[in-house]
Amino acid sequence: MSSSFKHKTLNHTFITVIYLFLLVLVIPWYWPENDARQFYGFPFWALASLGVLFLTSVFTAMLCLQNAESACEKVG
Amino acid sequence: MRESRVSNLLPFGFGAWLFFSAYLCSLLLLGWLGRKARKEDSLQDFYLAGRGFSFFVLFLTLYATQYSGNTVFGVTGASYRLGFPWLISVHYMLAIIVFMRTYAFKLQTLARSRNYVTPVDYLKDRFHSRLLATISSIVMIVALSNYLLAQLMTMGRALQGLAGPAGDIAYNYGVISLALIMVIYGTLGGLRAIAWTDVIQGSVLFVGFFVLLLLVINQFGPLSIATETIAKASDLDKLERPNSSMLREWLSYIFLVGIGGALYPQFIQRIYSARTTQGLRQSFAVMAFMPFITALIAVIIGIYALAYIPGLEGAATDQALSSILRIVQEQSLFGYALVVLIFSAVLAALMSTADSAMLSISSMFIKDIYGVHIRPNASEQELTRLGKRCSWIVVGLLSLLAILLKEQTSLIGLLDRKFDLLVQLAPAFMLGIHWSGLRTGPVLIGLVLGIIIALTLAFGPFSFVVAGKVWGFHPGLYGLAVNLSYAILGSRWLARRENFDPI
Repeated sequence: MSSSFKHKTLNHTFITVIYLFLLVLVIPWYWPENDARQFYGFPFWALASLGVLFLTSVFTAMLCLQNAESACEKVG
Repeated sequence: MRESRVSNLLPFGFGAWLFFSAYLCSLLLLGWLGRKARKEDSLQDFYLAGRGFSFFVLFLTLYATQYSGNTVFGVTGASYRLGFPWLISVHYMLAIIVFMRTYAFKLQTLARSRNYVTPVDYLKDRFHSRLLATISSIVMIVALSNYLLAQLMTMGRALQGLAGPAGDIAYNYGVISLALIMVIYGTLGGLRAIAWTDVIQGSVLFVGFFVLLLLVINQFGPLSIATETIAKASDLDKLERPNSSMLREWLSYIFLVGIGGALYPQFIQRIYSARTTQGLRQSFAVMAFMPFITALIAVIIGIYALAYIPGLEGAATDQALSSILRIVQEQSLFGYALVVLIFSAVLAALMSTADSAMLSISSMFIKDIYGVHIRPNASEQELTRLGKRCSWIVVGLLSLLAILLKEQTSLIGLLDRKFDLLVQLAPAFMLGIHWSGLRTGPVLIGLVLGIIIALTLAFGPFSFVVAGKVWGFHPGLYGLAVNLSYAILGSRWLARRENFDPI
């Protein structure tokens, strides 16, 4: 197993773990169901979910702007 | 004569019609310019614009294509029905970009070096199976026809909502006139013309959504008052955190729409048409933030409509946005002028998505079905010419269907079935591009199993299927689970058997 293959696998695992972590938080299962409090018209649970979603956008944009390692890979 | 009859139906004056006419004529002009700019009479030039899209055009064409009539009317309508729990629409719009990122950049490099035109060209190259390619083409054509039908129906509803009591006639006018303009510029200039119109449409949509939000806040006051109004009307479930059943639906929508949307043929063809991978990456990076300034605004508008225009039910909820616009436009001349701009943005969202779907359908039908099974020796010129005729026939038939089905179903219902089918292509595209061990046989059988499971659960008479979902999850995801498992386990089993083969 080459070091570049190991590095790539680790990289993909790290990205998947981060996305799964964000997925767990973006669905507001942890928020009390009957909480009707709001901030500027947005329920608190909605703001929490949108906040995590924004982090997901930032993470995705960062990944997109990374230098292409896949551009010269062979087709699967 | 026809113009004056339409004017009588809609609450727009001469100036507004002049603006719409200028806008629609500009689309036709771009179609003609796109035809003039063609470099050769080939499928690659017509359907991929010669693979010359830079970051700016690519971003706006992706944006205008992703945010459709469903975003504008469907999301607003669903937010009206469900309240804040429909924030999931913002999430699934981002999920599309997340899942596209998993395979788009590698596919773009391959497409450029191997001259892919349709999504199925990649499958032919990767799996060397005519049957797999044909089934995949049919899945994509059926799913996209469903999508195009939804866009045409929304075109009708866009006018219906503004027309008040004369809505039925306005619906028919909306479908026919907008479909006609779309098919003219689309068949004149191909993807080049469509992308150029997307630049205008994407810009108008971008500005229009901001203006819409400001206009609604100015008209009705801050969002906090709207949510208080909803709370006073005892609609607390529309403000509270989704219940556990709805949370499962959230998870289901993130995967179903995320994966299915990432496999839209028109998106894949835009990936092919990128000039460089760098430009594609930059476009995706910006697209990752678009749900916040498009889908989120659509949800907020739905909340305002729920607070201030109560009483809409069923398919009428998809007219929540039109009803809001109608109120705003009656208040002041300035409001009227801005509604004209927003209505143009709505038309932009509808037409930019529908034209892309139309072009993808015709390219797949002509290259993957006609060019393979009916006339394998047809020249590129012949296929391009037939592709244009195919666009006219498809749009004509679907426009007729849109008029016949106008009261049949709500937009979100149409949206669900399309993704149930498209997600079944995920193993072939998203896994197949990275894993060389994925075999053709298991992928083909997995695809067929996935489609059968998804359609049986969706349309079968099962008591455990509630509102088209099983325990909150869409049928397509159950099909995908079996499909993916079969593809992976089958490929591993084949590899092991070959390794132990004594011969």
